[in-house]
Amino acid sequence: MMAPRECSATAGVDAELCARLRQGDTSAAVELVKRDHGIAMFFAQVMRGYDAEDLVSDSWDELFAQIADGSVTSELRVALFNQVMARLNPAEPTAQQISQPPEHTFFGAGDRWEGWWDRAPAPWPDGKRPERKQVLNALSRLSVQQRAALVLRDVAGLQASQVMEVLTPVGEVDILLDSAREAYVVELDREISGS
Amino acid sequence: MYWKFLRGGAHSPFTGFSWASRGGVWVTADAAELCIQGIHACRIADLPYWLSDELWEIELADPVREGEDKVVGSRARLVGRVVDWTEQMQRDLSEGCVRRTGLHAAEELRASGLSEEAAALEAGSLAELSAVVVAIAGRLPGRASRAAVKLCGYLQDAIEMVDVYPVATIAYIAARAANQRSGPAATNYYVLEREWQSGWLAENLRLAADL
Amino acid sequence: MNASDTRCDVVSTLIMSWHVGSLREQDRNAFEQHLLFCPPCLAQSDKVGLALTALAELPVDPPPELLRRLAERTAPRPRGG
Repeated sequence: MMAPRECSATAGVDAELCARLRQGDTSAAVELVKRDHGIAMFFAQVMRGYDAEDLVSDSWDELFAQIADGSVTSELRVALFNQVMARLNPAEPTAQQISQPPEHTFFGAGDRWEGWWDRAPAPWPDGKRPERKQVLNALSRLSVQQRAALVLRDVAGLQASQVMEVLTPVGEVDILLDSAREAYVVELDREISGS
Repeated sequence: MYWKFLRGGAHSPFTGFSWASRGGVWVTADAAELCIQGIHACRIADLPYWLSDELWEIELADPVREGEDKVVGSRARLVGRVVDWTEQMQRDLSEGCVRRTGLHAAEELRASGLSEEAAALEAGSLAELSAVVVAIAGRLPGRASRAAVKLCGYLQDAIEMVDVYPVATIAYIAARAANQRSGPAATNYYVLEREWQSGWLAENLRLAADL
Repeated sequence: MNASDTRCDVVSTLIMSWHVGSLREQDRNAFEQHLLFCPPCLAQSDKVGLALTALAELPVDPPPELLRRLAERTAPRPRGG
């Protein structure tokens, strides 16, 4: 079972990084960028639908300016995502999302196996692991809010309150996340099964 | 000492965690992200509930928490594989469970006054059982209880699935079938069937008694 | 939920909860045992696990030019003379 992914960028760690950055510690800059660049790039790419190097680079510039002038003193990952979001023009889903998974059936009432699979979904081939392209394609079919919630929570490890801050979602984050995870798996299954 | 079932290649059945890569080294549940609860293991009585490809002896560090159908510890290490738990042994247990399903069906037929049919189920070899139960099933409507009909159905399922499904499935069918018995309400036939299965495992795998 | 009478139509709705650790403790045993004796449900659970793991395996290293630029901007400026 996957334990809920927690953000390694705790408030205490980030406050210390900020302090070191303001004192001119270049190793702190390298540490911060190495820690969060990959996730920011992935977020921007998923949201925008194509490469986002320029957008993320500009976001870093602005974040460093905010650290230098003291307007950001902790929660650096959240601040970075806020910068990315401000520059994004999110791409709409690339194709119609399958709102319901393919039809599979269970044995009906009265059957001795009532509620058990009658026609079960096909398994993935033995040893199959999703490829990056398939993951990105699957995510591209989620709604903008679902994509964002999934990446912010399950990839970047932000807390629900931090996701709210970056995303300003319509409705509860947990409900959005539940629907995002389910939709992602359905779409990834579609990618891999080729259906 | 406890036991742990793993998938082929010494992987955790659900998380895919590779025990093989750890050798006999102590593993902590947190480090391995195995489970929020901890590392699960079996006493002999728990084994039938967790059947899988490989069976290992496992040592758990104290404290060990006793739970329903399992024990849980925060640190554990594999000690050695129970080599007698082979594919053939799994097949033997599966066939034993088919037989047990047949015995439960026979008891229900007997309770419906169909002694001849019951005897036919008990006497047939495993190879003959499929044809026997199909022939019996055709004669049951209107004569046998619902439980008898259902159990004959489970017997047919077990026979059909024994070549295709893992031993855990066949063992479950036997326990599920037993659970449909029409005996005294206080009798938990599901648990009794699982106890038969754990006894079979202990005897055939020569497992030491619980500590 | 009891292991003796778990059903696939119920278990299949709990797979995600199990993977993200929000399945109730009292249901976890029954859920896990069901996966062992129901290969289709186990295959579904495996898919979810692989899908969620794939999300985590995607970071990209920062380009050296970006690192250099941000490190330079962090470095203390020499005092004017």
